[in-house]
This record gives sequence, structure tokens and C-alpha cells, in this order.
Amino acid sequence: MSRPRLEPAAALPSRIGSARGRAAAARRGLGMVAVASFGLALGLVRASHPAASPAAGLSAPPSLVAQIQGSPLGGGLIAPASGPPAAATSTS
Amino acid sequence: MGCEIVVAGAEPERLAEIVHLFEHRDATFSRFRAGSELERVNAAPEPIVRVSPTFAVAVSAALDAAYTTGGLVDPTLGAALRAAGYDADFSALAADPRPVEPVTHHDWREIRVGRGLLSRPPATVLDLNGVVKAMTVDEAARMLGGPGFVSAGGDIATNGSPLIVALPRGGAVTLCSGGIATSGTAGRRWLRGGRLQHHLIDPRTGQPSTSRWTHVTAVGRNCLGADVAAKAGFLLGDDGPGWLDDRGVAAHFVADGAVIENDCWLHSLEVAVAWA
Repeated sequence: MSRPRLEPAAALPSRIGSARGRAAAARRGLGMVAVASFGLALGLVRASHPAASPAAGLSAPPSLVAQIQGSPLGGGLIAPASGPPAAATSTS
Repeated sequence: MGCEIVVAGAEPERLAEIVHLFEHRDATFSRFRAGSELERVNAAPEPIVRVSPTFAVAVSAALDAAYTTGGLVDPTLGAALRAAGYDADFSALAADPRPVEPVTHHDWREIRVGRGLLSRPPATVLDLNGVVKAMTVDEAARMLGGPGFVSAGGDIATNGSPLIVALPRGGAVTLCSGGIATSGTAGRRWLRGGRLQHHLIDPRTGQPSTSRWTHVTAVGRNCLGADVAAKAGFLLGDDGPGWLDDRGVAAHFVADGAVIENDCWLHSLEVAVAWA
């Protein structure tokens, strides 16, 4: 009756070592994925937050902007009418 | 914009651009188009929303008008207008027996606009139409490129040429430069809860104004200034003529057929006669 043959003693450290290597690689991989995920999430949060939008100034038509500069009241000139009206002001 | 647009002095190409301008502004600021930017902003629950540059300028002009008039011309009265029954295009309004429900009035001073962002108190309903109409008239008048004028529902801006303008309840005046506008209750009135309503909401009460004026016409350096002055003069009632005099605004008031012209109006006409 033959007894089960034991593996050579030298083989055990190499299997443990390779397992440790795989575990270390997995940890590194997980770390890199975590860092990348964090960076991606941070970027998305910043990009979607209103306050993080590009600080672009108003780019409305200059003619529109010009109208609201200065006090809106005062100015304008009138004189007595010297003929039939060409237009009418009324409530709208 | 629910009113007649008159353009004089425009070449066909310019006229097409002006028509497009009014259509664009109506599509952006209409209270009655579900897809308008104004309705999107009013429906948004977020405290801060992105707005277009044109929208931001209109809000800025409305806040400027509110500041200048001590809050009389207020951009936050959209909810009060809806409550009074003005919740559809004027031509579609019908008498409604339901009473006017009170609404919360928000403070225009809490509105901030800049960098393409708008913040306002929750549930604020903006109404920018008065300001936008006058601003668009001014912008269109600048586009004429020569003598002429633009009128939207009787709010007028002239571009370098004297224009004789008929006034409410008779009479006329020559608008030599700038703009002229009239505020009043004769044009847009409807029944709600058995009571006559109109679109000039007094921010001090949140309800249609009980001013004794039927028409207030004011002159300004542009149509926007004239429109803001006319609204403020109307809402102030008896204090309107003096308030506008203090600010150098010529104005013409009508009440029950009687016409009152403030000192600035009379003085402007006297000076013009003296120079002629």
C-alpha cells in the first residue's frame, strides 16, 4: 500500500509567494480603481455644480446691454405737435 | 407679445430682422408658452438656475427698474397676475366666477443674477413682459439704421427723427428723441370673482391697482425708461405727477376725461416753443 506522496517542500513557498503576488496586484488594482473613481466623481460633481461653471461674462447683444446702463428715468425730448400724428401711444 | 407692432423706416432686410427679434423675445419671455425660458425658470424648483444672456439682461433691467421706482415696478408679480386671472393670452381670457386667491409676494431684492445664473426665493413667479417689450422696442429702433420709429402696443421709440404721437383721450405731441409709453387700465381688463381686474398690479397690495388714472403717458431717454416711468406714475395715483417731476420725467395723466400734465411736461413744451 503506497502512501500519498507529499509535494516537495520547496514547492510550497513558491505557491504562497505567487498567491501573495496576485493579492498584492489585486490590491494595487483596487487602489487604482478607487483613485480613478474618486477623481471621476470629483470631476462630475464639480462640472455639474452651478457655481463651478466657467466664469464667462454676459454675452448678450451689446445693443441690449447698452439700454440698461444708467438710470432708466429722465431724458427724452418733446415739443408741441405740428401736424397730424403718425403714431399713437396707448395702453397695451 | 400680444400687441400690434409698427415699424417705420426699415429696409426690407432690417424689417425681417426686427420681426425675428420680436418673435424671439416672445418665445423667450412669454408667460403662456410652455417652452419659453421664462416658464422654465418659473417652473424650476432649484434655487439657482442657468439662464441665457438675454434673459439675464432682462432680469437685470427689471431689477434696475424696481430699484429706481422703490419697488413699484416689480418683476415678482407673476403669481399675483395669475391669481387675478391673467393666466392665458389676453385674447383667450373669459369671465371667471372664482374669487381671487391671495398669493405670497416675494421680495425682488432677494433676486440675484450674474454669470449666467439666476437665484430667487422659492416659488417666485417672474413676469418680465413689461420690461422686455420696451427693451425690444428700443433694440429694434436701433436696428433701423436711419430715421424711423418702432411701436409695440403704443410703446414707442424713435430713431433720430421727430415723430408726432397721438395721446390718449385726444391731443398730440412731437417726440423729438427717446421714447414714449402709456400705462393704463383701458386696454386689458377682465372679470374674476365678479370684479373687474387689470394687469397693473400694485406690489403694495398684490392686487390690481386702484389708481384713479386711466392713462399715464411718460417720456424717457428710451422706451424702457418711459415705460417704467409711466407704470410708476400710474401706481402712485395722486403722487404720480410730483414723483415724476422730482425725477425730471415729463408725463401726461388722464382720469375720468380730465387731463393733467406735470410741470416737466409743460416746461418741456415751453422750452421747445422758445427754441423754435
